[in-house]
Amino acid sequence: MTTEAPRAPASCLGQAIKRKEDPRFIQGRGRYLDDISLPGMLHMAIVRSPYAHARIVSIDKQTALDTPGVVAVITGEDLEKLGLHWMPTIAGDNQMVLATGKVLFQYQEVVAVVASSRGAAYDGAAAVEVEYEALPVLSDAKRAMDPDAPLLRDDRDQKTNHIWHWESGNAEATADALVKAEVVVRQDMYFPRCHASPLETCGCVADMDKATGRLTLYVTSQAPHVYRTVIALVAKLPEHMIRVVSPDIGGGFGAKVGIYPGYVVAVVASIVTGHPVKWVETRTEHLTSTAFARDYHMTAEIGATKDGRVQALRVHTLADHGAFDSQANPSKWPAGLFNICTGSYDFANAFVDVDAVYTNKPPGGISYRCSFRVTEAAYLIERAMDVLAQELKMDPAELRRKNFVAPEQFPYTTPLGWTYDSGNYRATFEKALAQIGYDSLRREQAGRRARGDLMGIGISTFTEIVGAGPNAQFDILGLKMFDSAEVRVHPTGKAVARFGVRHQGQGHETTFAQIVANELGLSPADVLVEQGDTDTAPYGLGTYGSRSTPVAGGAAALCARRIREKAKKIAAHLLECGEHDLEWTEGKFRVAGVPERSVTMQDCAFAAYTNPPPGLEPGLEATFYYDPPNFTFPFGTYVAVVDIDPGTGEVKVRRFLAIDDCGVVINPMIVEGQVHGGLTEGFAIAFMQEIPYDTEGNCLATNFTEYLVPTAAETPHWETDRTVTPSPHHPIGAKGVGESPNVGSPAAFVNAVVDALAHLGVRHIDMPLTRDKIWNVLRQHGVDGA
Amino acid sequence: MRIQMSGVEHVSVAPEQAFAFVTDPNRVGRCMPDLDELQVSDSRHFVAVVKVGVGPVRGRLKIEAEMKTDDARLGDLDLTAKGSGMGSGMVLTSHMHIEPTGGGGAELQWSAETSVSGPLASVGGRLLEGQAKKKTQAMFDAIRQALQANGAPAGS
Repeated sequence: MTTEAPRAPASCLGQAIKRKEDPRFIQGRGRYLDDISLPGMLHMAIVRSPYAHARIVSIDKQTALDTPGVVAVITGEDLEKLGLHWMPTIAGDNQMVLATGKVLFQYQEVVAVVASSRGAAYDGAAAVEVEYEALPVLSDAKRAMDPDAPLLRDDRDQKTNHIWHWESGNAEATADALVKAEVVVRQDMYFPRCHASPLETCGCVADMDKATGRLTLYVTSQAPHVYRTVIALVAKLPEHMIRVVSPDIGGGFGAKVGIYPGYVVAVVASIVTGHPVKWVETRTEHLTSTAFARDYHMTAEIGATKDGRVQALRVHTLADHGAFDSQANPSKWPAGLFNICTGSYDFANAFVDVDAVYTNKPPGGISYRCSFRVTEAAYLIERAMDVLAQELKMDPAELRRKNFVAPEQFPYTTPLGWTYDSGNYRATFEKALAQIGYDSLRREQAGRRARGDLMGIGISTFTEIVGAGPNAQFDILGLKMFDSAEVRVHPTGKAVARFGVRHQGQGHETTFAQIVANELGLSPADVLVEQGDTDTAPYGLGTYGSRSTPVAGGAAALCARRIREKAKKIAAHLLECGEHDLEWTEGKFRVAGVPERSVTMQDCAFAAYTNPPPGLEPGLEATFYYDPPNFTFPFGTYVAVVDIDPGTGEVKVRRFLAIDDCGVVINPMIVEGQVHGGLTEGFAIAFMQEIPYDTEGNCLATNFTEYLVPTAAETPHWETDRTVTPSPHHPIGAKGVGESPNVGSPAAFVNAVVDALAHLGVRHIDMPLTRDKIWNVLRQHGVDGA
Repeated sequence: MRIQMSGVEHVSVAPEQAFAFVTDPNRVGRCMPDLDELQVSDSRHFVAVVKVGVGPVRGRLKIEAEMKTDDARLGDLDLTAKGSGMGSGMVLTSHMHIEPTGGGGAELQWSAETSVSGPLASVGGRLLEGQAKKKTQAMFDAIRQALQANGAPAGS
């Protein structure tokens, strides 16, 4: 037996291997949605409502039809004839595809124009005349339940703007604990409506082949299999006659989970015209109609002892869901995993409730780089802990130190029902404080404050919950939230691994290759990772909510182990020994006690096709559908140091240190890149991003001059490090990291800014912390900056 | 976006002349800044197409206007208008009262509320109020000039 394949490293995990996908991206060879051009392809543009709430009086499409190049003009009434003018949402509501009767938010889809070129489609859209009769607008969620508030969804049986009420925890015990507490703090805080706004907007090419009756939908989707099933159900097409292809994606961050009306209309347009139809959003369309994130009005109450032991947490939230409830959360969890809001602290009692309401705003409620409302929860508890520290006149670091869940308490069950898998919060926290020089910074702050300078230090010691989810409780539209891997090892020992998830920049082509290679004793270079084509990939629920590594990563490892089990039988055959005589070490099967007698996975693969043991099925491949036994709970300590210019209100982030613990690290370079990206998004959310609406329901952030994205010039320097506390139940001990920095950082920034102003009597400022907002706060507190 | 404006303009013609001018669609319509097209339907209704440019939002707005006067309240004019174009909508309600002043002149007391929707409000919103004030002033300047230059001859 000879072994010519290069020796694989003892472990591929923990290696900073360069990203396998980058060569094509940095050479401009990625194939994104808008790169797709099919023969005879038409283009679609959408006419949108200028009004937030208005009755549609008439639609005149004749001028549009007369516009050169226009092939078809589709209205809601046209779709109604097909029963497709409304579609179900993931959240169990219904959403208009093209408006009939009335519009419910500004920029809502009203008419679709299909033409021979994109320009002609837009010309045609401009020629459509829609007459509206304006109706009273509800743009403030806090007014939604007022008796005089306009009823928005008169299509529903329930004649109210209230959508649902959800609660978690023990209300009575928590109320009792708050009454008895020596100290109670209460803080209202608003997590503004913001938008993931990836570089690539949403789009699709729908191609119904009338000869075969097969629909191919190329679409910017983070969950292509879910799209296939939903399209089959909505459009009543047989699922095996639908192929969904998600090509390279230019960022998703949650915005590409839901199914948008444009996709449905493009499919109809392709069926009607017999041509492929492409629809790609403009930036304004993306910001004004594609799913938003956050928009939570939260009130936190903490009861504690005078010496700073937390006892009870009560949270009430009003959730603004816009005109349709199309939030992307697991079916039985309308507020997602918001009840992770006890965070890293050992509360004896907690209760949280959420009321969702309709407003004349776009629908959505996605997890923008966080796991189902976890950013809101982390922000709430980390902000509230600082408010408590301020009330107790206690250092916020000391308050946290007193209240962490201790390492020996794991697995730890929170009063809201989650069982944390593992953690060592204190160790990560102390590492962060030592690394940033916390005590020295506090001394510097005291000196600067005496001189009138505004310097702040903000801490966030967050705990996340990711990896949705255990199938007993978690599903989307009834589809259990497992995920899958299929691995085929070819005769020469090279492998193809396919997954039900779909990466959008996370680096799966590298990290999943590392997982598979590690289990099979191969080089990651010899494992090709494929995702995004429902014709080839096994069924999966997609990539969002930091679920890929916890769920599909687990499937990858267990799938490879299934192959290794079969390979072991082949190895025993090749080495003429029993399976029980073999051990798997350093990527080889070796005969126990005779280590020089060994075979590699390449040897086994070749034999699987050329010399399989008698009675064993030839070939070497496996599929694994993984139902995770629990979530994973990454955590971290972030520290921000800021200086505020009292004259302008400008906040300068002097330092930011992120110590993350995401369990076993697969590729430290990719983890660091994920943290950099997430921190930059968290920085943007904290300081510059909001999608506001005026009283008429006009969106006031419709482009990148109003909705700001930080450039390298604004972005602070990030300092990163990690601790490693493996997940005890994940096959390789990994927890996931992609979303931790977005989850943990907003609170650190806001805590730092409030800390800089605390001596003036400032207790809370809502994001975004823009210069003018800070400037006004300073003036209100007697700082003139002169 | 809702814009509320009010003001007082002085003209050196008699109140009756001023009232006759501002209630004549043919004459007052032509005082609209950046007018592209004016179609007078009857003595109290007209349709105007005007050029609009607010920040990056540029195009034409078609405005359908209706005037209401009441013989019992001479010198009072209500004007409502509804505009659409550039994917935007506009609804205006306004009132004008004309009072005589010393020396034979007249005082035009006016107030208006405009509700704007669509890109005009969302994209141009920050600039819209200033632009509206500028255009309103330009319109009254044009009315004043027309009245004073020609003594407000009918049908000018």
